[in-house]
Amino acid sequence: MEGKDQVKVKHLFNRMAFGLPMEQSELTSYGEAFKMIRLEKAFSPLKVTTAGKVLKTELINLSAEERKKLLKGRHEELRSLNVAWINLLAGTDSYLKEKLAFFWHGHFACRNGIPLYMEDYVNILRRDSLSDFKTLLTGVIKSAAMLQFLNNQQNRKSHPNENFARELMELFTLGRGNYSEMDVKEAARAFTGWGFNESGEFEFRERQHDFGEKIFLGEKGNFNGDDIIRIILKQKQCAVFICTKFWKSFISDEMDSEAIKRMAEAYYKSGYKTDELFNSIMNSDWFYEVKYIGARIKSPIELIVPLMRDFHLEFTSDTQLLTIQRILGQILLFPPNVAGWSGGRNWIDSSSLVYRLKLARILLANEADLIQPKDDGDVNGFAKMTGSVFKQDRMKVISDWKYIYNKFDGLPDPIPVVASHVIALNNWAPDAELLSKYKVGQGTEGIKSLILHLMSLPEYQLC
Amino acid sequence: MNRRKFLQTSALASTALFLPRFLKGQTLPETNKPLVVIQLTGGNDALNMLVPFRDDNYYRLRPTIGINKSDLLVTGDAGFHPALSGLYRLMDEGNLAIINNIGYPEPDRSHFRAMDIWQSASGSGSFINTGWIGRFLDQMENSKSHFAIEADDTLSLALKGDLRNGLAVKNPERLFRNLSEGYFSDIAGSGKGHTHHQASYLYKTLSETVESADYIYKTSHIYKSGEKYPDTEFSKNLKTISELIISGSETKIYYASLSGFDTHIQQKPRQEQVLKTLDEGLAAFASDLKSNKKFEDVLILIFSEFGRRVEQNASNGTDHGKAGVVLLAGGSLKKKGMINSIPDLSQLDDGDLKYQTDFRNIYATILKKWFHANPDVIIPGFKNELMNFI
Repeated sequence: MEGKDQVKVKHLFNRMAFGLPMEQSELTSYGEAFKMIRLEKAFSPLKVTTAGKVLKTELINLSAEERKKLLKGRHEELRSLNVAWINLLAGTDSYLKEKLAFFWHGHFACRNGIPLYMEDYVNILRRDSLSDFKTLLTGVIKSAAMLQFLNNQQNRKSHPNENFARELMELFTLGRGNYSEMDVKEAARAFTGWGFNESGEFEFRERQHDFGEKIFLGEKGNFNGDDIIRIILKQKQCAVFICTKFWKSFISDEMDSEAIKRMAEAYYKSGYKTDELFNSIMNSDWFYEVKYIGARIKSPIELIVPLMRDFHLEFTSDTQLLTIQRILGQILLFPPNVAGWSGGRNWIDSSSLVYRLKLARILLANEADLIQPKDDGDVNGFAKMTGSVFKQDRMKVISDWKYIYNKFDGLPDPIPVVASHVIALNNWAPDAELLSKYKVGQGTEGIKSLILHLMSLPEYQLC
Repeated sequence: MNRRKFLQTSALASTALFLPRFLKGQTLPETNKPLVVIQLTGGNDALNMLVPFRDDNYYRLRPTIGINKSDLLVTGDAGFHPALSGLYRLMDEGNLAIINNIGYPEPDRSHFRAMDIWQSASGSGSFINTGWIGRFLDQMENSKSHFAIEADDTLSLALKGDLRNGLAVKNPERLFRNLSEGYFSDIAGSGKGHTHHQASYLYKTLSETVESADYIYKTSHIYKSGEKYPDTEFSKNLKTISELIISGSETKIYYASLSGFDTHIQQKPRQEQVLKTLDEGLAAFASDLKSNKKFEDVLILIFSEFGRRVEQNASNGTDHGKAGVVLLAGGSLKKKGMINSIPDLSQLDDGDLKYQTDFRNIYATILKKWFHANPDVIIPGFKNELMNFI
């Protein structure tokens, strides 16, 4: 039977981090857990890419052979960036900060073929994940990756391109139906001139900017892009929109519009201070109510990261890690579109569920997995980015069970202890009949088969 | 969403021990007439598939990748690409319909977006996370996962519904073995009466998957094709589908994809290769169905997420365009051959083929006329206009 604090600690880490690390499982004091999860190590940017300046003439003046080599190099770097970020998530102890950065990647969904730009974008998310929303939003939409992804390079005074303004409002701040087409047009005018230089640094091009008067969300003025942000944030709907996203990723797959409204009011009142909001959530009582425990289906990254961390997984090739992300339907740095990942039950269909249930055995017990991800048909696309798809029927992953064995082997009654560590649900016990059939062996063999069995159950998909 | 009842095969079809008509000589449930969707992934170049050889613009804009008239399989004002002899024969038999200039307003040139738009049947400005086939399943009473089957390891958006998903299965035998080593059926069984709503949802999905895998495996054994299929992955998938159809599976929709259509570079050899794969596979598939008197009961829909630009690019290829072509095949077409006129290359949309017909009308027509379902509920926010190819 789990103690009340223990329940809180587990839930806290399941939501605000990627699960409670096995190494911290003795942690039973909520106060200490809170301190640990709020730890923020000095910010250190991910630095994987080597290409610096990206010359406009780069592609045009190259021979076909040189172009191919350049693109190959870029694809390799994007792969490295993906793998580096996942490894960071598995190894970090700035738990909440990095988990939030991962969340923001889904919210500010973006893909770009220039590794440097994507790297900068990821570091903006990581650096400002707990900053106030305005700071983060401004940083993200001024990033080269986002400006290019949403075509703002093509947005000029003489020929406005509305895509950037539209997605900013529809998907990043207000949601559909909370602004008019006119607002999109006027905002687009305000964002003219926003661009970036060859190094991916933000640049404002006066020549392309429309300095004229605009009417936006009921206000009139010679607005520029920063003004647009300011006015958007004045709308309470923006807080509601963001809190709805927070709710889905941190509280429950099921919406509760009253609770979200309350959260939004507090968020708005504080000036969109994300870290205050999260502190108040974590320190509340309602966050730990039974109905929220295990109420979310883990996203693919939330499935993969804890396994990597707790078993010190070593993939013998990056391709394997990328292929798994692909099969499960979530590849860091490659959201399907600007709306990000739908999440929740959308992760689940007949084949993805079976693959998820087998994942632990595939990664930790070298079980055969005969599934192949789809060919997306794009000659320049994803398959090129991930290198070849891993086609052999068994992943070659090295896992380390030493720590796990030391922890659990020798306990008089390991089953409830192990179950409590592996499964997010409280007061849950594995089915005895299944156990008698599938938990085999004694000692370390028994621990291994127990853990693999628990991780093969649908309950393991929940957090 | 309204749940609307419509014609369903009888209770006999729902049991795991479904026996096809040629084994039981008793009163039959209404014949199952499935749809087979073939997705050409990458953006099929309609203009080289069906060449408007009388239009000088074609040869002017495609100096090196245009196909000579003498190589074409001519039918009226257009000529089939030489690799498409099977389709040409189907056309001749009256078993093929061609709808040119298919697209939708404000088209997207990104593979991902465009394919999502086609699969979800949404407008280009909406992001819907369900597919038209999934929503069709949602509307059916007592629908099961295997009512929509995709010949692949992973499930496309097209087959994902709000309440129900189709089943992705490349190899019925392997799926069955995968699931019923006993382990997963045991696990599925242990989840009955789970009180946690998310857990019970997962257990239910697993049970349904096990049940469907079981059904498909048993059904696929009833008929094993003697037809000679080409040795390609695509043809293997068509063979699996054919065996299920002929075995009498209660599946309503089958889905298969073929990629390789994104011909930015060196289009001629690449397109020839991929069209050959398509054509030979389809020919074997049609022949198999015909030998088993099933061709009249099947409707085949062939589409791609966009067509390609009319003018060739600097790499002897073509870039992403707008409107494309849709092909329909089967033994029960009401309107055959060219349903509308081939593209007029003097009337382009900024260098692209102009769309005349919204693809959603094709889905709506199939849903209404082939399946007697209600397209207005399944395809949201669109004024469906029925066509008359069936």
